[in-house]
Amino acid sequence: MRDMGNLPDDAIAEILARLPIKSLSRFKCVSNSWNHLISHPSFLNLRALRKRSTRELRLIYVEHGKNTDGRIRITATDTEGKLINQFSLPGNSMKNSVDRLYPTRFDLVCFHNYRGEIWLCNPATRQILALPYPSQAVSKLDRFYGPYHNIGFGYSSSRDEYKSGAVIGFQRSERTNIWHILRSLLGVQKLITISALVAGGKQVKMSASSHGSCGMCPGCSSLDGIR
Amino acid sequence: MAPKNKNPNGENVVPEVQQKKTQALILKSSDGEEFSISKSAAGLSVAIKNMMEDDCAGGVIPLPLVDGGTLARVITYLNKHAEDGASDEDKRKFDEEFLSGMEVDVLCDVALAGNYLDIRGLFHDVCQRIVNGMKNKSVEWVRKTFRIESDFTAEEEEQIKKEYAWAWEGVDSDAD
Repeated sequence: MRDMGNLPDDAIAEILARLPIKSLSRFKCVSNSWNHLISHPSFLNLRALRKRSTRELRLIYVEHGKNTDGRIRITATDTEGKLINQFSLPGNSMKNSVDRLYPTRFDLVCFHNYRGEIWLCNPATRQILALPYPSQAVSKLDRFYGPYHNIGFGYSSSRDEYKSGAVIGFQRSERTNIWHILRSLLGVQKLITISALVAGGKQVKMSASSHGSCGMCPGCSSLDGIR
Repeated sequence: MAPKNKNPNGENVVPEVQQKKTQALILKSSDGEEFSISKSAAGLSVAIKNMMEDDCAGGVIPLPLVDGGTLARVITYLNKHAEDGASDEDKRKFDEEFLSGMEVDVLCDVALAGNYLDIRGLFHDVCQRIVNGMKNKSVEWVRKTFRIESDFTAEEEEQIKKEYAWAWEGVDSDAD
């Protein structure tokens, strides 16, 4: 018993769980068994548990434009402005635009552009995940104008799920009797929930569902289809 | 372990507190060394405490996973933490000095013992110490230090390196 190889797996996990994500990403390369251990969901849970007590408040912001070479740059700092992490996303990943950023007190950042495309980003692992478009009822034209009134983003600890919800308004035209997406808060509000289970930056499950379907608009049938 | 030390009625007159302090226990390492330790200090290890409660009291407790050198260190730690007059500040200072002189090999041995004997405070501190030493090190350093053989093919390794290229930025040199 002279080395770490003799430590039982749970003790190795206890040690590795205290490492920063950057070291962990690198140490996946050490051996197959370390790679498996580090990627295992139970390890990610253990790590979240160990980390929670030492979690620091961070500020995260997103820039794009001339000074970032037209690419999207994500920066995380602590509350005193000390840089924790900064990196640029691949050039075409978001058509070079960010409309709104929804930082959370959790590990992930959610943002969307004027086309209504929503992304989740884990700044620690630099992974980025495009969420499924909530509804086919939102046509290309609507995408262009951006269909959302608002987007919410949060974490449900009981289900270990991050959830992103978008509020979309529909209105029926008197003349054509067709439902249109509203750009004002009048009319029927629909809440579309897109949930993604993201543990340690890894996408495990993704689903979309709708709530409060009116059952009348063409959107509802297709929304229900995504469930 | 035979319960040969089961107290005859007469011995129960000794007040319990005093009894705990004065009574000693023998811990036997994997290489046959025997160490005497007070019951109150030994009780800080959940594993030993359970063994004492299982009526091993008074006997020799064999610890086949801990060698003599490591056991001596663990006992030093336990004695300090069981010391009557030691304040939390004293203990913290002691822990700092206790661990700071240890090489990675020794830390791993102590971690193994801390885990096996279920001494949470010690195990936590040792883990943190190991982590501080390794977090900025290269993959090669980790393999060499912890004697881990890579079982990846060159392609698999390349794939991970490509996927997490950013994680290779700012790694310490292996020289030290």
